[in-house]
Amino acid sequence: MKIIKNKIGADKIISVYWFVILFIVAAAIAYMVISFYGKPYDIRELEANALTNRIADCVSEGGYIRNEVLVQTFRENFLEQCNLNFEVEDTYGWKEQGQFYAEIEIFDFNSKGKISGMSGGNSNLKEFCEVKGEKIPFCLKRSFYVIDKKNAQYQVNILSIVRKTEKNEQ
Amino acid sequence: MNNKFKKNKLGQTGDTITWLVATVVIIVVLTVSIFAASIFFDKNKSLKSGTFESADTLASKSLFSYVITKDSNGKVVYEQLKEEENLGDFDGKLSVKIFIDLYKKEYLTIWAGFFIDRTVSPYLSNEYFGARVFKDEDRLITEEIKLKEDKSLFLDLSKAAYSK
Repeated sequence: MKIIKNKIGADKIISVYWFVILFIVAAAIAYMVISFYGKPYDIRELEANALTNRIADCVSEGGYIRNEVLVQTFRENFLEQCNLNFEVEDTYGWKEQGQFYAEIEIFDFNSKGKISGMSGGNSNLKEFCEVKGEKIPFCLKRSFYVIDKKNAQYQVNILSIVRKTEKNEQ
Repeated sequence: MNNKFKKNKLGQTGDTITWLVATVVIIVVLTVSIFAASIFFDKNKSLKSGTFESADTLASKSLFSYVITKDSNGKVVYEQLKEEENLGDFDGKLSVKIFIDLYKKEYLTIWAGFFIDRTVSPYLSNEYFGARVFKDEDRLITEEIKLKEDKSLFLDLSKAAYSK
């Protein structure tokens, strides 16, 4: 009788032990899954690339620079001209502080003299391109070669910056 | 009776040690896993531009503008490339100025030249870009402009370095 009682006690202790171990293992697995899937994907490089490609499509057409690109009215509101919308979701106070910046510089391909330039968005982001560190905006500077109908050669530099640092820590 | 108690005690001690060791092993394995997870997964996951891309829009635009550029005699590069055996003086120098100067910061290996379909080694080496040295075709961004039925102009860009 004494022996039977002891057995039941031991079984109960082992059951409690198993539940504790089961809970610990489940909690550990949940922590590991959350630490992997809980972090957001940083797609700012893709965003900046998409923005750069969109601007390049706006500046050149069929291998030639668009005539209106060098005109004053295009320079003044190039975001509208290129159908770019820098509106963002209203989180982290993003509405008050622009999250995008785009800049176009057009140079003579041979002399490298600047012919034209235009920009749109939050120009304060530009200063972060030279800085290295955490929580800084992503900058992408790219160039391409283009000519006009008179065979004048140009180099177009496009600078695209995406901020969104609150969601993405570099 | 005494012997029986002794035997039981020994059995209970053995069981306890087994469970104790098992618990320690489980906790150690979990701690290591959690530690590894927090080190490797704590950084932000990043999707780079090269993750999906097999084309470069800006390089493609440069290549297209390059072939429609005229020389001082008014002859278009495309026509010159069609007639030439290999990259010539004007189109060769211009291609270096465009593709090397504009893209050397982004790509470690850049090659432009002719692809002749009928030859044993179809990619012709030239004095401006040398021989084509790419080994890993999957990581290559290639732009092609057809010049003739069996002749094309290739622009290959790779972020990997290959020795010439």
